Amino acid sequence: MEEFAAAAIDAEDKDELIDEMMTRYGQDILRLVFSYVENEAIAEELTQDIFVKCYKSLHTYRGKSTLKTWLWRIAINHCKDFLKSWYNKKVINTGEELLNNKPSNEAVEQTVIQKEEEGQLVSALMDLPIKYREVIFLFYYEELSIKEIAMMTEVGENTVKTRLRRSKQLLKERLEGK
Amino acid sequence: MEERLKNLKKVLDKTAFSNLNFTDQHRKNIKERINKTSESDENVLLAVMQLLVHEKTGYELAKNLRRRGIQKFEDAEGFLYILLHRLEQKGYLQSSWEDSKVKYYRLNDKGKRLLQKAESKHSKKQFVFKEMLQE
Repeated sequence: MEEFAAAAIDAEDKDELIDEMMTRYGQDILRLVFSYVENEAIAEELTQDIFVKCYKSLHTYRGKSTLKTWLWRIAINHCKDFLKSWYNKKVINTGEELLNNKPSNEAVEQTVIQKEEEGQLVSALMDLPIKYREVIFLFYYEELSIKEIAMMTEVGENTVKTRLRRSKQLLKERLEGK
Repeated sequence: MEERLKNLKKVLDKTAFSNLNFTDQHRKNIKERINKTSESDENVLLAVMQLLVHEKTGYELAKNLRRRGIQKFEDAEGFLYILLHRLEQKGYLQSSWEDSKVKYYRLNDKGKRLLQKAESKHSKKQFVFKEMLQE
């Protein structure tokens, strides 16, 4: 991908690159964004913003990080800006649809108890403050390394480790009682 | 806790993420928005170059752009000077100082050729400007 990126930018063929990036990362970015905003319509909207933004800033990509890390950083910042925005605070009520989501067929076959446990895990995660939620998501869902997470969230590796520890503690308190 | 978190991917995929799909329609919307923005950037550049066939100061240029309905530099005139600087460095503009106070900009021969190329070959326009703005 990186070679491809360098070649494509050299050729000024940004269109092809953005196509490739959407194919590879579109779904991932949509999920990442949802983990921040907890609303499908908003997640879809912001994901589109992010790819447009990415296209516009491609010329600033210097190859210092991988293209994926670079894209994730744009996405994460975009989500945080949105969460801080007046629009989000005043107009949107997020978090309601999370628990109303219909489970897929597979889930229907699961036992009620297990579903409950899963639902609790998801809602406990979504209740965490952003800085704790994001490290859990990036580490356990995306299976990224501490180093990658540090680059994407623009904090030190030790901070990531501390937050990870703290997040697990918080989840444990919420799920298993103190 | 660790055990439960190891299942997080599976759990999220079938609950919160089960209706979440990056669709062809999303791709199409993104492409459309990208085309729209790059098109308007081109129009701005074209207007700047057309206006600089005759010598102008940055201030006069901004005024003329506004008259053409281009709002890109409203409250952001710094960007206009960045653009002018870049065009100058690329060798498309010549500039001169008057009383070391006011700077005048004008397309030089290379700039005029580029403008001609951009105006005559519409399909090539995008390529021409991309080449010019490459850092």
